[in-house]
Amino acid sequence: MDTKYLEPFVKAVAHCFETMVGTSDLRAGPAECNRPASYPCDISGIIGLSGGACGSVALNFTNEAASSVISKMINAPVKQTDPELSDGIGELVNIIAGNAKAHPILQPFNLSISLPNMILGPGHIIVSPKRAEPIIVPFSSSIGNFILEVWFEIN
Amino acid sequence: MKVMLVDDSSTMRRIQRNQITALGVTDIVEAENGQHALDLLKINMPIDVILLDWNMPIMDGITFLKMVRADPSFKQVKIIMCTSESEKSHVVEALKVGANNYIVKPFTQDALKEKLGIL
Repeated sequence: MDTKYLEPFVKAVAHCFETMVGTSDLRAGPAECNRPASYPCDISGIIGLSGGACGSVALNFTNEAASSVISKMINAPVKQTDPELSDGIGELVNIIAGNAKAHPILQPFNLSISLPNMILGPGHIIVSPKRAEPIIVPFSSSIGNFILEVWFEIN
Repeated sequence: MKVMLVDDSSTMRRIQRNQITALGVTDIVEAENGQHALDLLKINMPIDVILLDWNMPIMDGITFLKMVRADPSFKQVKIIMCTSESEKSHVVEALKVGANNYIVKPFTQDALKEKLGIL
C-alpha cells in the first residue's frame, strides 16, 4: 500500500477525535506493517471501501479505551457491556471513512463506504486478503489508546 | 421548534439530542432509519426540522428525502442532511432532491446552531 493514501485517514481521525471527543492531546505514532504486541484489541469497528480502489479502514480499541472515548462523546458513563459502546465505535469509523474519502488524494477513486461492522472479543485480529498490505498507525491520548488499520489498493 | 433525528446510530442520536437540548429545543423525536422516520412523521406532525443521516439500513436518507418531498403534506418540513459524506457531488444531489441544508459530521454545537438558525 502506498503510504500517501494513509494521510486522509490519519487526518480524519485527528479531526473526528478533536470535534467529537474533545481530544486535544492525540498523537499518531509511526506507521507500521504489524500490530504492536502492546496494543491488545477487544473491540473493532471496520468499514469496507469500494469503487476505483478497494480496501478497509478499522479502529481497534481495548474495552477500557472504548468506554473512555464513548463516555466522552455522549457526556455520560458507558459500561463495557452497554450497546452504546459498539454503536459509538461503529459511528466513529463511519465518520472517519466518510471524511477520508472526500480528501483530494482519494476523490479520483470515487469511493463508496459500507455500513460499519463490529468485531468483539479479547485479543482478536483482523485478517486482510493475502495480497493486501494493511498499514497500522497507533494513536495515544489521555483519553485512551487505539489503532487505526488501513488497507487500500487501487483496482 | 420540534425536531426529528434520523440516524441508525443511537450514539449519534444521543449526541445530537444533547446538542439540540442545550440549544433550548426539547421537543425531539428519534427514528433509526428512513422507513421508521416515515412512520413516525405521519403521527408526529407538525415537525419543523429533520436532521437526516445518509447511510442507513432498510431505507437510506436520500430515499426518505425523495419520499417526503413527493408528499405535499410534508411540504413545510425543513430537512438538514447530516452525514459524513462530504463530497460536493453528495451535497449537490441532496439539495437537488429537496434538502434545505447540509452539515458534515463531525460537527460542533455551534455549527448545528448556525444551520438551525438560518432555516
